[in-house]
Amino acid sequence: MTRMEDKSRKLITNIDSTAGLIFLLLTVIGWVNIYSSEYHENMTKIVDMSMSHGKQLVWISASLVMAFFIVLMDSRIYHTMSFLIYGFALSLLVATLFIGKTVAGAKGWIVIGSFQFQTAELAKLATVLALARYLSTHGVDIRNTRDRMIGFALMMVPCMLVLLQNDTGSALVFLSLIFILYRVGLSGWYIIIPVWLGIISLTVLMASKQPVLIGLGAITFLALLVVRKQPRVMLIILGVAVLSVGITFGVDYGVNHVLKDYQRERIDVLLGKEVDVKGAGYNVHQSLIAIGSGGVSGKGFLKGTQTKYDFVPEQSTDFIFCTVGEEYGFLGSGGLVCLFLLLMWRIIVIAERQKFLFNRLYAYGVFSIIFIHFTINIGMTLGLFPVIGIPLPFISYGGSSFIAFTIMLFILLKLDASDRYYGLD
Amino acid sequence: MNGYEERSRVLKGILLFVGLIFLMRLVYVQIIDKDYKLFAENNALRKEVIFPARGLIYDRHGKILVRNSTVYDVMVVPSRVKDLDTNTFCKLLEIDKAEFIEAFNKAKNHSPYKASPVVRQITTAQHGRFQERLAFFSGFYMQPRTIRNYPLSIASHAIGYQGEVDSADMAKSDYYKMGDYIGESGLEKSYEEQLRGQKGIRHVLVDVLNREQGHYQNGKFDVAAIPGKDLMTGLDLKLQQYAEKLMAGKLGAVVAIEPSSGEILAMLSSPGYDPNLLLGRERRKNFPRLVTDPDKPMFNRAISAIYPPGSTLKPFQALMALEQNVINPNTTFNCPGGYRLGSHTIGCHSAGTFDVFNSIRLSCNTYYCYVFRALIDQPRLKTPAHGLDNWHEWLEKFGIGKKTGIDIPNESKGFVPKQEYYNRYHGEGRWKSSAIMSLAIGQAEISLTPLQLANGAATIANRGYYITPHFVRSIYDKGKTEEKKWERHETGIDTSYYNLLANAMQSVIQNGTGGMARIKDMAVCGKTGTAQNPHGEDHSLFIAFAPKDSPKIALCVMVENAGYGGSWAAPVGGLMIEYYLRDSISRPYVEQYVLEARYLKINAAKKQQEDQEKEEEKKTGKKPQPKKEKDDSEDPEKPPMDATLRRDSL
Repeated sequence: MTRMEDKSRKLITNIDSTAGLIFLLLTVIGWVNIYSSEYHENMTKIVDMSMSHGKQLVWISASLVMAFFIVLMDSRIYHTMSFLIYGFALSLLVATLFIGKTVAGAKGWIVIGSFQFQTAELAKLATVLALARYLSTHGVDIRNTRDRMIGFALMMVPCMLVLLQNDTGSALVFLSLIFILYRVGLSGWYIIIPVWLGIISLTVLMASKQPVLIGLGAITFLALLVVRKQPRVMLIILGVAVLSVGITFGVDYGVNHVLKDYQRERIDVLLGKEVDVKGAGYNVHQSLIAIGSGGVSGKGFLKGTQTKYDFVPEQSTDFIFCTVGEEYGFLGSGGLVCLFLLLMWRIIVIAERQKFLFNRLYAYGVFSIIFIHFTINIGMTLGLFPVIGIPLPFISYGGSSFIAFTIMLFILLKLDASDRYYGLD
Repeated sequence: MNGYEERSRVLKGILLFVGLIFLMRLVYVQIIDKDYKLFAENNALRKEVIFPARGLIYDRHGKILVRNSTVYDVMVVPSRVKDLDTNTFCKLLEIDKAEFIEAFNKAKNHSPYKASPVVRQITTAQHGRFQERLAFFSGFYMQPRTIRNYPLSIASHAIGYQGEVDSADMAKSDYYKMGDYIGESGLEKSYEEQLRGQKGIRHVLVDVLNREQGHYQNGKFDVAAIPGKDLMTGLDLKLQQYAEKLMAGKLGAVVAIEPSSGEILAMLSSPGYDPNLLLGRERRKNFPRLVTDPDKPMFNRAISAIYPPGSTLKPFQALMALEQNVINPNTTFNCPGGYRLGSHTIGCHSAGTFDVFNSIRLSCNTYYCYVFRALIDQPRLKTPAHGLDNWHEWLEKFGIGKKTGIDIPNESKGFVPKQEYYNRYHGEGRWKSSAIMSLAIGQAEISLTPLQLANGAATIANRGYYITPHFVRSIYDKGKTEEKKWERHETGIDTSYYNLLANAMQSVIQNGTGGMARIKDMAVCGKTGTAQNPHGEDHSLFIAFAPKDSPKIALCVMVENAGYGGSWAAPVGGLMIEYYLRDSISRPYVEQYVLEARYLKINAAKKQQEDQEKEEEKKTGKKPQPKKEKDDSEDPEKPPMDATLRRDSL
């Protein structure tokens, strides 16, 4: 056996089998549920290439081929090319604003011949690469204001461009990359404060501003009492309190005067307000009935009645989790949640064992993106989060997202494999 | 290493926290809270469409022309059908079993989970019977819908009809679902969006016995239907009715316009059809029969058929010649009883020396041959080809030779040739005004719609402009009336010339070719026309407006194959004018004369013969020979008529 053969074999066997196995499992679960969501008794063929499950099979195959090539290719190109890929992705996002095709309200698709893809998907990968590259550069320290600003800019520029495409869901995904910054030393306040303000905004929307203001007063008072010996923390808490009050008024005004009707509607849906007479809350309610009707063990494969086309919309894409919940019950849906937890846990483990900082930060980027998709998508189907249409990784129907997630994951697995291989040397 | 290793534990913590929340929520929704489960098991949710009432159509006096009535469709959700007793079902609804099975399978193929109609428009009696036994037919329910109802059965071409949407309609707009109705012609089509309103949705809970259990979530997700808007038209119901009575038994068309507003007072195409035939379950039977009828009752001759205008073109030519200073009001030409054109003559029944006024009064062909030649051969235009294009442009100012823009579909723009047309036949630069002289008397290649001629009459009545002819004056919605704006088109021809023409056209009625339209003590202005028709008898034409000063009505009457314009179209026009302006008829003998005339017999006989042939073929088992029906009136690109076919034209 030559040295070259030995090397490539090692590289392949070094692929993390736990993560790889979970990936395969999720893919199979996803396809079976897409199939089930559009199944009806009159289907003549077992696999119909004109239907979603048939097309998804093509995407899965294509993704596996790409994954195979990623495993074979030299992993150093990701580090070398990261800024180039980032620049390319940004220019595609800009181009999309002009020549993009609008699907479901978002102008986020580029069409080349009969092939079309969502540019935000590439941008996610590119931004993760660029952030990992920048933050792993020798001498860059997130505690420096200048470096921190550059880090934020790398994250926010694609986020804004995607927001301009009117794709709120994908824009939110970019914000999750703050976890990478956090891992290299960004103050936790950068996460706590936005999340805190988010919670306040939601509460204002749900109730009204008076109780929020009273509650804020009480919490601030108590917090100040607890930390009265630490003037620096007291200052931060006071600052947060002032900001919270500002947000309270801002959100109240924004909802009533700035937001478009459909956006307001979507927020109201989550909050169960009376205003959604136009039937916007229907999706979430139907989604809950479908999941709830699954009980402990579910109705069985193809036996779901609520999740067929007429009740839950976007069945095979955004609301695919309903099918799992209805047909496999708590055992199935809880199992799927656990499978995702396991995958993300594993990614953190992989991240932490990397010798190269670039690899580790890239791993955290993959974690962040899967995490935010998981949280928003399942949160939405369970009525815990506003209806924001983003797919469930590896499960939802859709070529662009499936391919993007697969590529992203396999680059990580390849980076990990070579990190360990060269580490052995 | 740069430290912060503990932060991986924080992130793991966040991950577990979110996962735990989801698992707890799942435990609650799927295991603890039984409501969702019960809900899904015991109830079926039915999404019913609420069809809005379609907008009504009124005449100019607020009298109703089109209204709605309620019918029921039997809907089915195929996946919910259990133990169906097909025989009882079919007996109950009085339908054919094979037909039902076909409809049911179609619904099943469309979607097993969505509701589709299986039996359309059942009667009230059937509705009552079926309602009582609904419990035996799970998966079925009845869906109320509104369909049209025509209390007077008039103005069917203007109003148009509805039909079921096809896949093209559904592809164009996602508003339409299978089984919906859409306006397919007339006002029903052009005002579809205003008339249709907005469908609503209600979510009904149904128990295992197919009984309604009330609104899902107290109707929280229901959407109310928004009724359609009403159309206020300028049609005059009584005049329309009277015109239809006069034209009964004749082939042809009538268009009457209020000149000052451009509103259509009456429009008909004869023979017409009873719009009620296209409703309900009868439609399937009647529609093909009407479409294949040799008299083409579904064809709107008033806007879609084109006819040579004959002498009715003369006033427009006189006006354009006067404005271009090709002639002046005192220009005279001598008519020796025809216009010599090489080896043959364009005949003229009158002889003498005439000015413009008398050329109109006596409809002198010779005069207009001179005028036409002068128009085409104007020195400033250099070639006859440019002269012809100029002539075309001037006619367009009257709305002739282009679409008038009326608010119903399928308007023809008529046919007025340009130089390219003759270049194709004679070669560029190789023809002169003499080659196209038939156009001078409105014959040969020129063909116009009755609407264009009526609009032309309105332009003369207005002394120089017309408003785009239209039916709808305003749209009424929830107490608010939205006035429609219609464009005003100027001809740019001096008013004094129009006054001269109005006087001349008045003399046509008083002591010229249009005597049959004369009304005591009323200044009626008109012009008769006789259009040669290569397929048979001449078409009888008449354009008119009245009263001469501040005209209230302008019209065009066209009677196919009836002979002279003065003898058939003129009396119809005269009667309509008198009826509209005076509400009574002073010459009942003229009315009698018109009512007794029947020109449909030719086609009727033809049809009878065809039917007989079919019967015979059925007996002998032979396939019927397809017969090609030729109709020049439908083909705008018809070949030029025989240029030697020239006769006098009144």
